[in-house]
Amino acid sequence: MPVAILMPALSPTMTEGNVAKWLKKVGEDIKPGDIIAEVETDKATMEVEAIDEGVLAKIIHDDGAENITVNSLIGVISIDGETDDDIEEFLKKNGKPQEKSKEIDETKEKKEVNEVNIDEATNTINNTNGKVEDANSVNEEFNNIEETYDQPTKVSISPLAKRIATLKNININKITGSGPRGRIVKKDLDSFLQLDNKQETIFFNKKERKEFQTSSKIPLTNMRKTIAARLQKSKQTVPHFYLKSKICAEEIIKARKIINSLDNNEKDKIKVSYNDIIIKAVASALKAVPAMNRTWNEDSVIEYSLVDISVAVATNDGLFTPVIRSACQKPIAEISFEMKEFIKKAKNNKLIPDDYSGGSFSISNLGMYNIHEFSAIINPPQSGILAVGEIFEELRMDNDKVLQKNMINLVLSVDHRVADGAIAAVFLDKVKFFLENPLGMLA
Amino acid sequence: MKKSYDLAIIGSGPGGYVAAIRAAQLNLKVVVIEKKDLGGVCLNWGCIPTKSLLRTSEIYDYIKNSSHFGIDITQKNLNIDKIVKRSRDIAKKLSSGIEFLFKKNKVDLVYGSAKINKNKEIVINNNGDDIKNLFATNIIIATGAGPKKFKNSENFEKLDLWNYFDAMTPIKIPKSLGIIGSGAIGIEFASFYNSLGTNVEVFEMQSEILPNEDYEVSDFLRKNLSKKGVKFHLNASVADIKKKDNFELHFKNLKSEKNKILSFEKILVAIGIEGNINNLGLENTSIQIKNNQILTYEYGKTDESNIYAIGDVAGAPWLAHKASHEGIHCVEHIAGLKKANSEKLIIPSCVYSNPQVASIGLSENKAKSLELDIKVGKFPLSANGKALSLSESEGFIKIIFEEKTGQILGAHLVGVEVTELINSFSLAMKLEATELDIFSTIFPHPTISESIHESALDAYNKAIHI
Repeated sequence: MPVAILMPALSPTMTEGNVAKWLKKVGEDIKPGDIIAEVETDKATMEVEAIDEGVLAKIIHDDGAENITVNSLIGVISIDGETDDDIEEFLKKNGKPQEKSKEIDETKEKKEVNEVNIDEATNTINNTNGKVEDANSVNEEFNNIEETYDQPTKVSISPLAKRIATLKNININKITGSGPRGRIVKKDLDSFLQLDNKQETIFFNKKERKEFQTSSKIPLTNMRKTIAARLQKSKQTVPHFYLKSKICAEEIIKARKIINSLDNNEKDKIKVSYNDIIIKAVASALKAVPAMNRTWNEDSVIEYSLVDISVAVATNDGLFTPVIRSACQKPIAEISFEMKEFIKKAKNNKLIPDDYSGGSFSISNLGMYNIHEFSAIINPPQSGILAVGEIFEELRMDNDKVLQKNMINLVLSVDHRVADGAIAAVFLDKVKFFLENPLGMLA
Repeated sequence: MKKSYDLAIIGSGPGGYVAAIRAAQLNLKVVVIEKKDLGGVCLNWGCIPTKSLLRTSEIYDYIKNSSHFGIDITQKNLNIDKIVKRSRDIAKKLSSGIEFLFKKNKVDLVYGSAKINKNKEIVINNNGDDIKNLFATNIIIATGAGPKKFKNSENFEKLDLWNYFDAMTPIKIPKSLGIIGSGAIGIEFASFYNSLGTNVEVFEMQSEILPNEDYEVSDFLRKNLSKKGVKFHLNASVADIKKKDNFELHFKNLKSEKNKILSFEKILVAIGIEGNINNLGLENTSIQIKNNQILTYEYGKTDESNIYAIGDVAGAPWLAHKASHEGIHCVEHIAGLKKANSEKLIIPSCVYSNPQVASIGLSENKAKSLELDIKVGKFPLSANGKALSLSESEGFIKIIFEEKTGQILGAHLVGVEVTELINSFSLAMKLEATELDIFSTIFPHPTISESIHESALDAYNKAIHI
């Protein structure tokens, strides 16, 4: 069988080379050890030495041929006196040089996986000693270890260091090895971690930190996916604008006390929250400003006769927005009762789509988390969302006296496509009015 | 006459001569100053001649057991002169080997005692008749160590007690021998003399022999040597020694508080060694001394710049291979080859008793005291085919891994030729192999080394042959 003469790799990073000169002519006898040709890169020239005895049957790339891919065929030696036809057959069988080198690279990569050395360069192969070998032995006998060690792209690491790096989630590319030929050893990881510790010491004054940063992948629940998709779309496509207002909460505090003091039997005891009162106030304001009681419908806006309000409820699994239907018509106690049912259902994952679909407007209240004020993302296609902060004390002038008053910050987010600033301002002012004058909600 | 060198090394033991050759390789102009025997204690009075003696006792043991192997030998005589001469000849041969190596590498050799003067020159005095000064840019002190004496030794000095020099060159084999100290030296001579027929008793102040070894190894060796006739007195504090016809050894059991007197033809003091720091002129330098050793830092640096110390004189462990390693390290630093180093040495140690002991790294108890989570594997040589065919099935290989990382923390071997096996662990630990690497290594059959594989497998309950 004929033997291939391949473009040798003069260095592990070499990908292409030139044929400098053929020292044998076609038809000339070749003995093992004979120099067949000289190949060169921009850096070095090397002799191609014969291993097999035979006759130089074919030269594929002539003197001076440039940029020949490593391991592609540059010539053929006939060993057993093959005919020209045999040689042609051999050439056909061995296919295009580039395919071959790719195949070799793949084999190499597979092999690398089993080794400690992690080779990131798609580097080369074999023939580093400049000897001609047939393609099969080339496949098996690459990797001149001495040379590959010196490659900066290679991460050489001891088995123990590799294990520790995996356990402690250390990126070994960040580490300089101090072992022979830059091999990363345990000591290097120790000093890397110590460095980490030292840096922490500066900030936390902690002498020792045994905990290292770890991360774990948490798959998205369907709910999380929905929240992510909806809110991303909202923030990216809905032109939000924000209005801020501060209201005096003294009257709703009074009102809540009164409502909650109603003497029902123990079972039906009314206990409304501030949020329930705020729902009622927002509903009343939406009733009063129908231009806000709308949803965006791409080619139109839709205005509603009744007021359905979504109320954000947080659970461990995510955010729900159950809808209080016709909130403007319901007494606060009924709103309160419905909300309690919704919260219970939400926490037990029992809400059904009917509970949370629809609504023209949302309320999000983070007052119980002591949030002073915040702005919320609109739940499309609704017109807006009201972000309710905590009740806080403030000194206010009242009839020439400085008085301590309870206040709440409101931030209204509005879809500018649905409503302009002035309408939204009128609406927010109405909300303020109803909260500061709860009797107005009776109208 | 005053000569100038890049490096002068005081002492030609395994630290000094190795450092000198390495320095010559690195093209330093180097001189070695030796007071007495080229090769130091190791070649002349330690490692090598004792191993030669122990070989004799080993062969004698084989002959005693010859019928077990199907050979009947009735006539067997010990010729102590020949035994000692063989040992001395081997030492001499190696010593002259160093002379050859020095010539080959162009290392200058000067005989005489060296003293550093205030100008940091070395004054060399060869028996007072030939005093010369030489100057060297760097000095390595590699003077080694000598036998440690009893603190209240003045009374004992006149008594003609043996130290290891004497024990190595006996004129006759004593009928009875008391050995004070059960470190490597004490145990090797106990094994040697016991084999030659001497009644040997070993006195150890601590609660176990070879106190630095893993408890299982010490326990095994003590029981094994006891079976062969060596008597051990643990927790034994020597109170007094009196010379009558024989030596009277007065000792107290520290646990029972009981006093006892035993009588021996010879007494070997093997309570350790201490650094040779006297008459070196260290007082002319800023070198610090602690517990009879020169205080050293990385690369053997001392508190005096350009003066280094390596080997036994720089402290434990007192092992030739540690001295050589330090010597090479130190010289490469002097030659500017090494920049930074905080390498922690993993030093194997060997005891050439019969059976042998070899160990490296942490013992099980030490690892536990460091609160490491460990996995321990152990494989008895009685389950190893090669050991059985040698009729040397006593002993075991024990390996200690850190559980999480699979790091080899230590290995502890006792049994036939285990001193030739420990290097596998040296390599594995140096290359930071984990348990998986040992698992996937092929050990040849039939060899005792297969027990290494099995011990590692055992740590993870995967041993095949137990």
